[in-house]
Amino acid sequence: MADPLGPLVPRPLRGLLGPLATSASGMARQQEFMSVIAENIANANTMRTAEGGPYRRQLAVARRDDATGQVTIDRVADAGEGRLVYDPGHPDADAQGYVRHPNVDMATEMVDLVMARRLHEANATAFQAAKAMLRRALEI
Amino acid sequence: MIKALFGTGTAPWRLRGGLAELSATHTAIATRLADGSRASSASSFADALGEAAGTAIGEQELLTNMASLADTQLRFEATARLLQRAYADLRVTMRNG
Repeated sequence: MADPLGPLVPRPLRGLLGPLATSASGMARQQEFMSVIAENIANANTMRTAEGGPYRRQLAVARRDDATGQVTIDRVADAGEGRLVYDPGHPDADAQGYVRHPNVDMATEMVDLVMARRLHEANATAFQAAKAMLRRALEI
Repeated sequence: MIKALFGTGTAPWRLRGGLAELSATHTAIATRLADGSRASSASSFADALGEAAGTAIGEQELLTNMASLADTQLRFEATARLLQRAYADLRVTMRNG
């Protein structure tokens, strides 16, 4: 299993702090996921972006380096196309009168948000449990 | 004499082993929860990202892991109390013996 503490933590502390670091890493990951989901929801109606065209849904993907145990989170744009709506009066309408909307589906985002929140809570509970166990072990 | 008090097979030795085992179990559960999802979405696009799809934790698995976590914590607490009692008994024995 990868070491989530990094090379700077002394060896005797690794066993004790390992579960805490693992849960903290899980919480940080879910927070980043929730931030990306919130950004998607906030831009669900953004029709123009600096890159041109409507907003493209973002996804956060965690990658773990097995050698160091470090987790990095990359952002990638969802390649799917948004829905086409016939609206000839819209300033962004094409020659046929269709407007391409952002590819953000609110229902999907809400489901993802609930899942991210659940996992964040689960990691927070695991962190509290590890803390309680560590404290109990120190009382022996 | 010392072996009879602290050696292999004695209560403190067994309880210490139990604590180490429960600690390892907790670490494994914490790792499973931390790796619960590798992408911010479980949609088909995220599935296409490969590794994200393979490790996503389901609702049922989440509940199972949380139940295991509570179970491990209670067992750890009970084992720690028993070990504390065993060490207290040993201290009394050494003081009065």
